[in-house]
Amino acid sequence: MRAAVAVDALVSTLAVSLVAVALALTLSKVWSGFPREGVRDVVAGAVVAIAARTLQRSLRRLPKFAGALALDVYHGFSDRLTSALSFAGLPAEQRTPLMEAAIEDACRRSERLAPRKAAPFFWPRDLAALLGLAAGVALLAILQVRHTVPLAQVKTIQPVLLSADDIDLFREVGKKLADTDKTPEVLAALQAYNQLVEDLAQKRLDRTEAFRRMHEIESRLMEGRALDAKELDEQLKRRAAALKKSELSRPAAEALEKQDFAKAERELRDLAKKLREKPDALAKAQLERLRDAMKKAAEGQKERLAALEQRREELRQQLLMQKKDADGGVSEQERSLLQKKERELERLERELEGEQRASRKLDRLDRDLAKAAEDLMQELGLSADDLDQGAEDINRMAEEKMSDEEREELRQRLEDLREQLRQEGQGGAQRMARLRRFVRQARGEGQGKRQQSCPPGDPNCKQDEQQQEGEGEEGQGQKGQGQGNDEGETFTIGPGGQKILVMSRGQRPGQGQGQGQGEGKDPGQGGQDPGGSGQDKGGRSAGHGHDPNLAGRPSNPKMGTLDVQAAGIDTGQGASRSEVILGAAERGFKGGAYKKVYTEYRTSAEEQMHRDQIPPGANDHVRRYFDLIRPRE
Amino acid sequence: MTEGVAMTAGRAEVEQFQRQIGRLREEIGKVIVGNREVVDGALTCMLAGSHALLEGVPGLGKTVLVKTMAESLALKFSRVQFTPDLMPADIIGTTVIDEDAKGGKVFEFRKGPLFANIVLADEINRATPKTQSALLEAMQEHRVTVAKTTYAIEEPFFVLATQNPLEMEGTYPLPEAQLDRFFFKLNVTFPSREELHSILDRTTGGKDPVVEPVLSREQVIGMQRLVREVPVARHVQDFVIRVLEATHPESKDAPELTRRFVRFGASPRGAQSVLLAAKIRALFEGRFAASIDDVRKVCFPALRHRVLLNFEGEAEGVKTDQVIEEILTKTPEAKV
Repeated sequence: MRAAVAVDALVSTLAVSLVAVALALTLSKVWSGFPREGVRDVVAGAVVAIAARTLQRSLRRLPKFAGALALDVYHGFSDRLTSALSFAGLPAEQRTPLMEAAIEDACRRSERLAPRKAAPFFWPRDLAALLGLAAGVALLAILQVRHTVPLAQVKTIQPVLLSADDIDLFREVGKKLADTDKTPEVLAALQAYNQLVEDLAQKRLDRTEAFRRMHEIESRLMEGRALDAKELDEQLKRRAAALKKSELSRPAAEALEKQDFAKAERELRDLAKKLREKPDALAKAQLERLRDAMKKAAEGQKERLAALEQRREELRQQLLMQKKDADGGVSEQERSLLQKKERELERLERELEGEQRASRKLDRLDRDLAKAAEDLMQELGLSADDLDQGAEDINRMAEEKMSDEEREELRQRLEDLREQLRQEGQGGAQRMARLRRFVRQARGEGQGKRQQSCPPGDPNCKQDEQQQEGEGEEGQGQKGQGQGNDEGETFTIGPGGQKILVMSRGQRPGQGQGQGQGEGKDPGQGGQDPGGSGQDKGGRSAGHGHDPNLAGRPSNPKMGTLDVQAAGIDTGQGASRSEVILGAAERGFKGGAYKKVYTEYRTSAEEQMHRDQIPPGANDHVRRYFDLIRPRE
Repeated sequence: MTEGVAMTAGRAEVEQFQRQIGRLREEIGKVIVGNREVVDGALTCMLAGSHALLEGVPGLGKTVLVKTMAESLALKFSRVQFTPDLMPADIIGTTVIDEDAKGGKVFEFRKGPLFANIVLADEINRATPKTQSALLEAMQEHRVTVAKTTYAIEEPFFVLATQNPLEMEGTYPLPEAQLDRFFFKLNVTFPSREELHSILDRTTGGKDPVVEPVLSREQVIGMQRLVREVPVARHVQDFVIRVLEATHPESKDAPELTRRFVRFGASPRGAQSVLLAAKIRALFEGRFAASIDDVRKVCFPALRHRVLLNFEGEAEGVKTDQVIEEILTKTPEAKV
């Protein structure tokens, strides 16, 4: 019975311990913060608890007469043994005859007792469950839980999305600038610019990075550029004015004044050649005026700079004095005067700085002119060499001037790009989708070319595709071709995605060739490209939009045919400007006629902008507009 | 040697008891069919020197049982049919004026039906509480006091009261304090089909069974004395006490049923009844000491009228036997 009690205690304590160990194991596997020694400590504690509890229960005293009671129950003795034992414990004198009889009766019956059966050893009923629990804990112990160590997440960017059309535009600009400008500074900036455009095309840049890169390129452009071209022009004009005083240098001076550097260079070289080859033909007075002119041209700027410097110094001194006097307190009027002088001083400093920068650029020319003037009266040959050198300087200046223009062009493009990125950020996905639609229209792409694969990570792609599908019917209708000059009508997508009914007339001359292969879906639409039927192989039967009373039988395509190549003749009676524009709106901005019209309009717009006829704030919009409607190849 | 003599004497007494009780059962069995528990219960009450309350619908043989017992015991028997107009004097007796031998007038007490060895108080709940109280005093004290004179009732004195649980209109249910005076409350149940066959055979034939007295008054008293000598082991007595405690709702060992549905638990008189009844049952079984099994068996009749249900228990239709069953199930036999 003690063993059963001990086993019972063992099982119950073991069950609790297993649960505790299972908990510890689970924690250790799912929670990385669980102490490494935790499981070991819990297991050790469980073992101690099991041993202590089992020992305690096994040593615990059993209820009095527990064995006798068990025997009575098993044998059905109705407490005979227990009662007899109880009576036997009494002193003999206290026992009654019935007690003695009960004891005797119990003794008699105790000869056939079966204690093993009366108190059998039963394994606890929960033993199976306990074994299952132990197996579970063992499985848990060997179970490998994959710990997901949180890695530093790769920062994903939200790329700037530009339409392919815009990308192409910026690429073209880069290509054009690379063709025209060869200066190292501009080439380096161009390289950075091209890389920027490629990165934008590959969607490798987010807005922040794109703006940073543009700022970097702009900074580089500004560094390389001789600042303040206006100041340079002014100084050149002053030198030209000085050189004009000599009839020998007047042609060069006039060219310089007009900033026609090529002519100025040529005139200077001619003068040098004249000095070198025909010195006798020149009068001394002419040479002296030339020398004076060249000397004045070379040193005039120095004098001007010195005057400016002196003026600035005087103003600064005055300002210092007034400030010192103003320490004791000044009136409002005096303070205003003081501030005015301060502003004037700042203006002077800026002017001086600009002058100095421009002077540094013209420094070599000045030196050459000064040397030529010096050599002129001693040896004409040397002076001629100096003038040649001056002509070289002018050439260099011309190049730099051109380079500045390219830089300005590049800077302008960067500004355009920045503006587009801003608008893209403000307009969001809808604007981009609209722009894509427009670009497709502008390129004249039909349904067949619209199956573009979505670029990865472009959330607008699906929506865009849906819109493409929705517009497919219209695209097909626009591309449908036929023969003849029937008037037709079609719909096109206008601003804001609205349908616009466009009347078309197929009278445009020229060699139009059908591009599509399908049948025209809308009746009479094909008049856009009259005469373009030579290579159109679409359909074996007549289109849908014909007169129901067909005359004759359809041509048998198996019959031998003779291809005739017919070239259209430009009679100068082509479509009007408005018709060209309408046609471009329907088919895309393609074709020579459209290019011509576009160039006219753009030139006119540029002129207006140049004349400040358009508010400066709207210039970007105008440029953007013309970029969008530019002719596509 | 002494132990051996004592042991032999004890055994002889028990064996004689068994023989006597066997004869008595046999004689009663001539008339009473089945209802062994009721018969044994009535005998137990008589041997305990106490009284029994029989409850059952009319016609189940309650009165016949008592009459048969009286006849088989050669004891003085009287029957009182309790009615609402029955007065205490009607059962106790009354003092009348009589002439003595000299011709003088004297008061003489004329004993009522209560002065018998076995009294059948039929339909006791129909009498007024006043009359019930007169009976119950006699039951407890085994004596009657009339006009300042106390009259002892001859031993053995055994009252068997019956009551009908159905016809409660116009009755005076016995108060709890008076119920406690009854050793057992025996429920007389409807006989089985076989028993009914026997009953019909015996009672509708031409020959009525004749019951002969098999035990004298002295023998009954001797048996009552032997009952008191039956030893009880401590663990059995401990079990009785724990059972008794468990009938009280405020006890820590009380089972849920007791806590919910019991208003008052059994009194110590209930424990006395249980233990005494267990001793008698041991003797019935030919054993020399009472056992826990005996206690289990006698708990129902000994405690069912002593455990009082509360309103919730009454409303729920809980029977006291269910409560006792629950107590016996939940009470461990041995407690350290």
